[in-house]
Amino acid sequence: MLLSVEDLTIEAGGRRPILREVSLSVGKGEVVGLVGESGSGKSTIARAVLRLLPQGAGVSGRVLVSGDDVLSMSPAALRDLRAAQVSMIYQDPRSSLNPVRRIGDFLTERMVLTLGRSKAEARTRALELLAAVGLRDPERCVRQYPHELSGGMLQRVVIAAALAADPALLLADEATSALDVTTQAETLALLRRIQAERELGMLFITHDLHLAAAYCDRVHVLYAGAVVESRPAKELFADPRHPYTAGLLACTPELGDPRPIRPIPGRPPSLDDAFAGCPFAPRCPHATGDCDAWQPRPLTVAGGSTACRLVEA
Amino acid sequence: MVRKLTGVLATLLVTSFVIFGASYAAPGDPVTFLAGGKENLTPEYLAAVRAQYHLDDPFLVQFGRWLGDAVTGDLGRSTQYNDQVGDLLAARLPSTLGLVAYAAVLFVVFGIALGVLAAVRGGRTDAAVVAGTTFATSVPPFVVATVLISLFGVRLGWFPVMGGGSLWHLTLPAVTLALGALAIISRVTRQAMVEQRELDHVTVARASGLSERLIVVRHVFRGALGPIVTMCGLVTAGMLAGTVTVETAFGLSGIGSLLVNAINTHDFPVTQAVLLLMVTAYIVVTTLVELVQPLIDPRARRRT
Repeated sequence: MLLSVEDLTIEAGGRRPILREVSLSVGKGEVVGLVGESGSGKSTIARAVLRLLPQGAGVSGRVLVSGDDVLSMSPAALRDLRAAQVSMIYQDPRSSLNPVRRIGDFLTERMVLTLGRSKAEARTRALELLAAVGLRDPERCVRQYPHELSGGMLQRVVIAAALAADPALLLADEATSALDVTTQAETLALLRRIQAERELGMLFITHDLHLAAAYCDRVHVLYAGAVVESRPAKELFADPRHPYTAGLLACTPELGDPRPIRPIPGRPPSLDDAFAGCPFAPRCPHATGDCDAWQPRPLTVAGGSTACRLVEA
Repeated sequence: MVRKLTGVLATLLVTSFVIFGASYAAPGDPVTFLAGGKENLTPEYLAAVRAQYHLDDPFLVQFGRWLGDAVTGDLGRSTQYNDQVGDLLAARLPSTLGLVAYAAVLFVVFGIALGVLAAVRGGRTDAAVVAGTTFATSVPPFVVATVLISLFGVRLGWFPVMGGGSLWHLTLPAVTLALGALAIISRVTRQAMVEQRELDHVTVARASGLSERLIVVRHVFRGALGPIVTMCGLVTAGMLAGTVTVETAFGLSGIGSLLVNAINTHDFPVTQAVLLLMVTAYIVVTTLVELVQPLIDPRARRRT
């Protein structure tokens, strides 16, 4: 397995952990979706893969990249992992780039300073990458500053930089959420093409279940820091087994479908909401009194697992 | 660029008017000082002096004449030394400029170094830097001067205690002057760096495997440079007008002591010229800082 997260629990002072016993894996050439509301812990998982943990966090479990445990490796090995094996693409490209440095600097920095390539070599590679992500005038682009480019162009630059070191694993953290719809579609297509060409493993994080279902091979749905359902995308979309997944799908209106939009009642839990039983029970339309006392654990369903006691009943 | 230049000229014009007006409004009739001893205070002599210095002309006429002369480089003649004001300034300026430049190098180097140290280390180092620099700044310069003189000048004998002319002579005065600026520079540096460190692009750089040292140098400090340069410029500019105490304490004959002397003896041409010089220096330094900003932050470049 390229990436394998095992029982990852992260606590940072709230009344409940940010992540509770999360397990997931991404294989070579596989796109794995991670879906949840804001605050569900999806970004924390991606950041944990690069060991970018919250200050003073208590961490247990393992995060293995190509078999090496990220959480316990030496600082030098960690720098090598960040520089050469795993790349992250962020939500807001404009804040991902240093505003006072040129695009070229941003692209070559990692190659020159962490991978030890020569400047000329790095520059040639930067131009190649910019062309590969579909920027029209790479020569001009490397001399420009971030404020001179549009958000969509900047996200292409960020993707180009992520590919600079030929990583095996891409972490796309809401990579298209801050972009216009048309730019979003272009960026998604670009990511998909690059992922397929290079056989990259990709952890695709989004709050949009429909997008994840259409884009990913497998999808994990996250609620209050725990995985509530993980199944192949198509099956999950056709037949959600966890009430939360079903609720997310019912939230989005569909063209030509007269069914009413049904928002999930209540609000997403904060770190100060602690739960004795199933964390979704207070918002769940199917909950019975026993749900408040049931400790969620993954139960096997067709193609994957779900953490709802009602599937057994 | 043209607009900036016009602004500078307008500021100079206004300040020169204020300076001239202030000395015009100062208490005491300049004639009594110009006349010299008591035996000269005859009405005829006073009238002659008045006529010589055009003191009976309306205020605006006097101002216009002075301004016209000043623009052509003629700042008038000192009433006390009976020398050309320009010559007096030329004789005094190098030691003050040297002193301020020396002090600026000291507070820039040590202030930034301490600020970076406080920001990077945090915790106790941070607290120690804040406490130390605050203490250094809150001690008045004349006390610092006295302590430095008695310790390094008299007891250890490492530095001369009086006079100027060499770097050696200027060391203690420059240290005295720089100590006062240390707190503000180190704290601006620290604050700007702490703010920069929280930005997303710094995390992005960290996630790309850059070592912590390179992140601090290339991203955190680089981003913090704007406010640091501005503050260094402002403090330096302010220092040009604040060297009096230090010059007096170390017996340096610079611009500051010239000004105080001129004020005490109602030597208006010298007072006006020194004040105008200080204002000009301040404007020049702040304008320089403004011109440097676009080089530091490309977002400040606006091509219109």
